[in-house]
Amino acid sequence: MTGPAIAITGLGMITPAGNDTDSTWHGVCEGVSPAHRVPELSGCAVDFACTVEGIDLDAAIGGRTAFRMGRYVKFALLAAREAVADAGLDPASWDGTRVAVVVGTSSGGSASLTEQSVALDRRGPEATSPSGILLTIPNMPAAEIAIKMRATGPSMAPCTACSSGVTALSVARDLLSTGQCDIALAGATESIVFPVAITGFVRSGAAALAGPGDDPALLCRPFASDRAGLVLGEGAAIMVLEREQDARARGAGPRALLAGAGATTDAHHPTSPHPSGAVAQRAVEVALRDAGWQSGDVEHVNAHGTSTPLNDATEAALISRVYPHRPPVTAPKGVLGHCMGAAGAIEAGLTVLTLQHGVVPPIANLDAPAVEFDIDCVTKQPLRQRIDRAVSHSFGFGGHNAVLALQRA
Amino acid sequence: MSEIHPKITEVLTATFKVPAAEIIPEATMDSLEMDSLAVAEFAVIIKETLGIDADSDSLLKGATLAEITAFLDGARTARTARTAHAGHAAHAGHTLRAVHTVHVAGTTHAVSTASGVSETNEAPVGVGR
Repeated sequence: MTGPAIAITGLGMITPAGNDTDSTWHGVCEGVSPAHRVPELSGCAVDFACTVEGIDLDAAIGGRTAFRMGRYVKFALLAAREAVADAGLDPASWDGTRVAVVVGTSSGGSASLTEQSVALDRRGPEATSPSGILLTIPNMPAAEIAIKMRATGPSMAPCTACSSGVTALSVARDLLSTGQCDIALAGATESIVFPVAITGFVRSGAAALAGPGDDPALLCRPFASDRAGLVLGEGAAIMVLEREQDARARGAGPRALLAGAGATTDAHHPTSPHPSGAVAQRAVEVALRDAGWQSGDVEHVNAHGTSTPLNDATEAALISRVYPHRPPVTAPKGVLGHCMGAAGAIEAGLTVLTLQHGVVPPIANLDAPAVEFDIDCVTKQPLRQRIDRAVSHSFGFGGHNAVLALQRA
Repeated sequence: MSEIHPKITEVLTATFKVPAAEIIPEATMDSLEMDSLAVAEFAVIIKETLGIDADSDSLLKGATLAEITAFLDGARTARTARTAHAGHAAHAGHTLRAVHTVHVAGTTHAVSTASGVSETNEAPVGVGR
């Protein structure tokens, strides 16, 4: 690696498996999906999803400003608070000029945009919210975190569809490496469980459909021979990144190290991965080279694993080509559903926890990978094994490939 | 001590998370930390739920909850009267309308002046960029 070592000193998550990092980790390790029928989706061709439950978001946000925040903003702010506390940092006393905020999202406030469109169409301009734009634009998670935490360094919202979270972590790493900040809050957020979005996924052919009597919790089956599409999820994960030297100087023990990052673009088709997988493979190779690793060093792959026929076939082939030594593979979307823009950040967070705890969560709803996939999937039970080097794959609609190399601290 | 219109209490607590203990007749939107964006949102909710046009952020910000209550009660009474005597009360219920200011890109435009009040909104919090 050419730049300074980068430490992950804080982690915050809010996901369908739990409303903080610990509960998410336990839920993912149990390998059972919480996908359920969602009242708001009633009447849609797919009326189920994995959702964040059991939390009064406005009460958790506190204060008097939640009215101007979309659900995706609230997720991000809550995850950021957990991450900062986890890092042992206090925004009241830090030098905010040296704090960057990089929080990605795929669809931003598309749910609110839809609500405002309906209000405008049915009841006219006076029925629309003066906060309508704030409830919609994708930079507001970064902006509200900056406001609440007095972070006046660079801030932005990377948008690379399902790899937005990995892109955000990668950009934050670069801001630290180039000395543009001393602390970076980075990750991604998504709230996309609403009728227009699920209908779009159904019509594009990406969504898993439920037959009569099918249990939604059993439908997302990454790498299974009978996988039939993605199940929608939502949530956020935010990390605190610092140069390792700075973290250790203030006595903070890293959860893990961000050793390398790689990104490429298929430049092929908006939804289909390039069938050769060669461009995605190059993202892996760039990340490994960035980390100074050989592919044989990789002891675990946290896969993108969407449960769509195409992604999983391309990714399984990539994994067996790049890592012929068959490191254990997991795919958290079996439990969490596809949290879209947030997925890469959540999965990177889970990979950090795997390195910390020496536990690889199982892939939900999978007995064994399809016979044509020569990969070692963790199924049924968590795999307890010390892991020193792991990668997290993210491949977004649009062909955005982003890969992180994460190392045990 | 005057009463506070129940819709005011409901909206302030449910949407804006103002603690109930602070919702007293002499409180103003300013004293409740309601910035101009929040007040504009408040006005939309009042319009949508009560059908009363209260889109004057300058007077809403300065007015006490007791005064806003009186305005809402008056508007409702006027509207009832208007319904009873259709076509008669052309401008009833608009006594709250003062200077409606809209902040766009840092500039302030007076949009409408219907009463003699020429107060401007001193705090450009809200629509700014």
